[in-house]
Amino acid sequence: MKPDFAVTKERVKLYWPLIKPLQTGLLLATGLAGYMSARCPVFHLGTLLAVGGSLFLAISGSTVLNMWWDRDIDAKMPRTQKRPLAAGNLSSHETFMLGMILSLLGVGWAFGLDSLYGWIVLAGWFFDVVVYTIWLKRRTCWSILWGGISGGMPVLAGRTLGVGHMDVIGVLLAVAVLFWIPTHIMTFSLRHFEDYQAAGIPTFPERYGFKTTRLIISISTLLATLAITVVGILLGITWGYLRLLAVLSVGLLILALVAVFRPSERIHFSLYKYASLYMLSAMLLLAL
Amino acid sequence: MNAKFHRFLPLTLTIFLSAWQIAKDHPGDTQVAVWAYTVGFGILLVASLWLILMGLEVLGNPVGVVIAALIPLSFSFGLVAEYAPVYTWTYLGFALIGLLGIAATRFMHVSTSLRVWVVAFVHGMAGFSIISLPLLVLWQGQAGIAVLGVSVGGVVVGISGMALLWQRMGASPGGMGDLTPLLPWALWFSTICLVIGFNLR
Repeated sequence: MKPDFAVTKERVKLYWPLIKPLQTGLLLATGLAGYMSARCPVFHLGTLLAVGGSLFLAISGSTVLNMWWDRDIDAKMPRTQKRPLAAGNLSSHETFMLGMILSLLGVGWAFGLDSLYGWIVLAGWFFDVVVYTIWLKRRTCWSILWGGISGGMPVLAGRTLGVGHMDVIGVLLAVAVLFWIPTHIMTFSLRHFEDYQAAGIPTFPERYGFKTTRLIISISTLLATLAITVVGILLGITWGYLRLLAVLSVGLLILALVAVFRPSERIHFSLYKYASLYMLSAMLLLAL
Repeated sequence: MNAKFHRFLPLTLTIFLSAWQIAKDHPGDTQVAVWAYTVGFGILLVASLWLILMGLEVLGNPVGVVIAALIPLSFSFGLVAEYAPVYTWTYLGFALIGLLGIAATRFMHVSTSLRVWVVAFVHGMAGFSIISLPLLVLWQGQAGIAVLGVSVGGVVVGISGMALLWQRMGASPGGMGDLTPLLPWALWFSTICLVIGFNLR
């Protein structure tokens, strides 16, 4: 019989990929940045840690439930076949329970911090698990719009908790994430087009063609960078940070335009990666 | 040390140095100079990010030729705006025409020698400004010895860009081999020199 520690270590090793650490980390960073855009982290360290903990649990919970619901799709796609649930290393029941426990803890903690903050975190969870994953993902490519709205909730929640009410800056930050999502997800669907086709998931490239999808990516990139720049101006960040934000935005826009006029797999993948780095850097600059 | 290390380390350092310099209150005396230096460091930053994400092969892209020329042109334009302000708009005109010339000869069907000469002339003029203006202000006592860092940085980035462009256009600079793997280190070195030059002059 294995000692308890070894068993726990083994389970954690299996659970870890279920929460998509990079994606969860990025969304968590937006939530923390939203809070720090209103409150100095040094003087509100306790609340900041609570924001981090509650968002981490809620986002992880929704991601695990997403994996639980999509286990049949994951098993069909070479890219996702090795995920613990799709590979049969975890049972469906265990994964569902894990997702529910993490979700309840995260959303519950959020309500414990502040009711409005809790409602926004719950809304994000609901849009992701129920509207995006269960209801729309297999029916329409427009499901990503709801995925985007859900993705914008952590930053809105963090900002709202920081200022005590919902404000224009919080909404604009959520809009920035909403417009950033197509750059992230559509680029991914261009890169893994065959995978999504094989799994029968409707995507923009399949519905509207590659050219239109690339154009949508460019337009949404432009809107995301505009929203972030406006937030930067409204927050009154220094000219230096604003210049840096402008430089990073131009880099993203040029890459999006290159993807329209000289598309290649390398460009799509770079755009996907750059978009993530851009969001992380932008949030850092807004939070400082 | 593998090739990946030699790409990642210098380019990451270049990104952080450039980001710091852009975010910091710029030592430029005029708004035009501040924006010109922002463009220069901005291209260093974004180009380094792209090189990390896409690999050094991306240097073969025709757009890269124009971007490579923008770095020395923007730094030299900033220096002209600061130290020879009467020539600011004349130099901007030259920079724009030079860029158009490089872009036109790169995308149009023209002889390799014409491409090389256009690139050499534009980079040469930018390089001359980057070397001579800091020397001039040093001689006039307007700046300290550190200002020469700008000259060194500008020259290294200019020569690197020009050598690579010549290579891409089919000309071999001095019979040397493939210079591409050295580019990340050259970018890092020139960024350090530029940062030292602008901040300690």
